[in-house]
Amino acid sequence: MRSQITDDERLTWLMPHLVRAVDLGAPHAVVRGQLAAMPRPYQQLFLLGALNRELMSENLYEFFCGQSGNVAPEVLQVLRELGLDKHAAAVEQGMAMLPTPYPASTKQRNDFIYSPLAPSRQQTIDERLSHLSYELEQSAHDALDDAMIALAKREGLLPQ
Amino acid sequence: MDFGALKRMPESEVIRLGTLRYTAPAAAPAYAKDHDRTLAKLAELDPALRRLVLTEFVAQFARPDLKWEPDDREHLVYFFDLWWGDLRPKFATLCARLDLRSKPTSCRKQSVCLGKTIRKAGAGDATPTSSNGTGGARQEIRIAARLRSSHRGLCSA
Repeated sequence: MRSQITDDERLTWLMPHLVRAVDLGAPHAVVRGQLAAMPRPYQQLFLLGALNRELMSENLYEFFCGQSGNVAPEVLQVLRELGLDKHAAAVEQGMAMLPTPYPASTKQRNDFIYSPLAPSRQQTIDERLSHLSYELEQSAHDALDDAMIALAKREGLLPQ
Repeated sequence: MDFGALKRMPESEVIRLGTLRYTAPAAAPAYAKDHDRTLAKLAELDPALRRLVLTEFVAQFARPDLKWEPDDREHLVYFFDLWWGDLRPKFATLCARLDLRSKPTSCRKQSVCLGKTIRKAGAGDATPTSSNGTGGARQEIRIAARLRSSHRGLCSA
């Protein structure tokens, strides 16, 4: 029976364990520490998963507004490392809509996005990120899923 | 975190995933068109494996951590309302083979209640029927009402 478990099922079992290992709502220094405690391939898988989860259920706007966006710079680095250029470009463009240095807390980003001093900012960012998400979906559908499986297989991360 | 432990999937998860493939098409409305094929596949299984598949299948509806429906209280109602017509005789046989009352104390109340529920679902017709058939609708409603009552007992157990 064990040999009949598919790679997809093995990855689906693995990911929640990684998600529980990092508290994305914690201060960024804590998150960095928790990520550092993971071997690099697990880190990469976790970070790809953080983006993939948001893209599957919502879009890039929700990624940047939510806790997953706390690790956007780290996600961008992994996307570049793995040659996921279209996703990297989209995340990079999303980060460019936010202040520099990148606000690594959800509150900082949302305070900026929903600032009463710039009432049209939220709608502009929402529309641009939603458009980027749509373009990604059209041009790179399933690319993250495939990249996660490929990474997990290449690095021997899939549980036996 | 023990990354070494992530290298091997626990037996319980292997069983859950390994058996799920035989019943998932019957469970999800989206797969209704695979209904007959699912039942045919179940019938082809070795009897011991089939018992494991059915036990694991019904267990999912009693385990909140494996819930398929958003509301825990609806698990068994959904299960028997939607699928009992096809799987009812199989569960009745299964229930007779498994002494659910002999489970550890920690889950005894749930086991007893689940056993009663399955027996109620299995009462009556001993031949396979289809929940999509025309003759069983009224009986299905009556049994569903009894199951709701039983399920309330399971939730409060």
